[in-house]
Amino acid sequence: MRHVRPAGVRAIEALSELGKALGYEVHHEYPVGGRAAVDVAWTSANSHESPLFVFEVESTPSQGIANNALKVLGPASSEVIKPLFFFHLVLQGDEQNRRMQIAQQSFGMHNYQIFRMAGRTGRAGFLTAVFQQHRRLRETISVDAVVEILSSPYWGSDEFHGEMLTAIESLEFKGSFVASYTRLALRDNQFDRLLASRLRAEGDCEDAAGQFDGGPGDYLTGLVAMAFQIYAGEISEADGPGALEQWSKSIPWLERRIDVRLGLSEELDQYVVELAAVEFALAAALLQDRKSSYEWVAQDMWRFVQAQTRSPLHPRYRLVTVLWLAHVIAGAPQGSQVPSYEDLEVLVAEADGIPRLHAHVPPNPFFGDLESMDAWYWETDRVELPTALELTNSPDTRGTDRVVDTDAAHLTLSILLDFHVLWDSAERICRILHAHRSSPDT
Amino acid sequence: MHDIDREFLSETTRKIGEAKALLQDRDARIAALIRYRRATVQEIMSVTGLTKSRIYQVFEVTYGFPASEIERRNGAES
Repeated sequence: MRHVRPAGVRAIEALSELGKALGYEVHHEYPVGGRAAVDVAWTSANSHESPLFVFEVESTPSQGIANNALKVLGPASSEVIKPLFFFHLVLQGDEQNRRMQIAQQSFGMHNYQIFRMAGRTGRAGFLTAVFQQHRRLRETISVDAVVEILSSPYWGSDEFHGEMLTAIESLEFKGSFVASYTRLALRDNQFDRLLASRLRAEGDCEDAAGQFDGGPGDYLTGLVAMAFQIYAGEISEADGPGALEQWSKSIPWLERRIDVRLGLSEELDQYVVELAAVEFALAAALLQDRKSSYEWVAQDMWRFVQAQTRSPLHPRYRLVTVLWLAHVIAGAPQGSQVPSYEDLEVLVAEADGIPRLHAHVPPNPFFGDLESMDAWYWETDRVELPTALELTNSPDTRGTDRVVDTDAAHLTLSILLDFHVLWDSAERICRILHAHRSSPDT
Repeated sequence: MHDIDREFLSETTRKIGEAKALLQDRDARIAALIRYRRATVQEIMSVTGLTKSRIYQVFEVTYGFPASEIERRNGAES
């Protein structure tokens, strides 16, 4: 009989949405045998033949509960082809209900399980079972689709998200976990830790390629991802510098992850000349409250600048990195041991100064636009490097509207996913780097 | 195969591998020196003895545009 009570209707709607999210064809009142039907059945896409999963929803553990199981499991297989799994859901009733226990005992030797859906634990158990059964058929899962389903009021709180997503991870599904978790963390920072944990788990495994759905994060070396793990507490501050150093040396054929290797391709060169500095600056922005890790980033960036000075780069082509390092030094937490600002002034002098237009904020990444990239380096109107104090107190780095965007994590995660954010990020990164130092009223 | 032949083939193959790696390193350096204006094509020619067309080839294979473009900009900005 079709459900008419709100609780039953809501449960059936939730099952339908779940089935669609997992890629099944969903049927209501699906006929089994002669005149009987189950409330919901999932079949393979574009197939109405023999359901893979069936769901029978009971408002309460009534007397007919066993009959509803029997109509599917009772007849011979020649009459009713058995599903891969029968989920029997009871919306109300206490945990020790005798009728539910009997149904489970009677049919549990088949692919059958009865679930009490009242309360968070019951729903979690049911969803976990659904994911387990789904894993028997599919290796991949749309994490975004699952997140959307879990966001519906039927499945409960945000805390539930983390529990269910962890369950999915433990079933070793393949999917865009990192990209989906990044979107989730952008929506609500309580998911930062879930993302950080996944980033740590994926580490350098081969499957990690493309983990940001083709966004800028896939073109960076992973320093920002490491910094995010420290920011979110997945790696402790005490372990931060060691973890960063280990990461930096973890590719056997490279001396350091971020190093100066030029003349191999235009894309790799662009990373060295302009993008690596942005990656360092983003990592620093994330680590402003993690002093020793911040120091590691600043020191490694200085090592990178020194490697640039030994490379075939004309001094002017080091300027983007030098200017970003100036911001990292100027915005460093109080009392940090960071490279000397005066050394940067020497490097800027060697490049005949910096273009006046970008004296206070480095240019946005040029990304393949050779003409504008070269035009910037060879701009004739040039000035000396501003002092650290001038950088911090510049209207460009404080924000002319006096609204300082201080959420480093939000900006960083947006950049990892979206090139458009990266292309327009320089000023925002600077503001974050100086947010601790500058005061809107000074 | 005689041991002497085995040794010869093994040793020359190793040396050719090393030479190829050196060649790649040199060509990458040449391309980057021109691209980032630390050296002119003329200077590379005088140091290496390579022909202009060979240097142009090395550059274009790496960057996908002609080295003459950099030379033109150098001329315009000097």
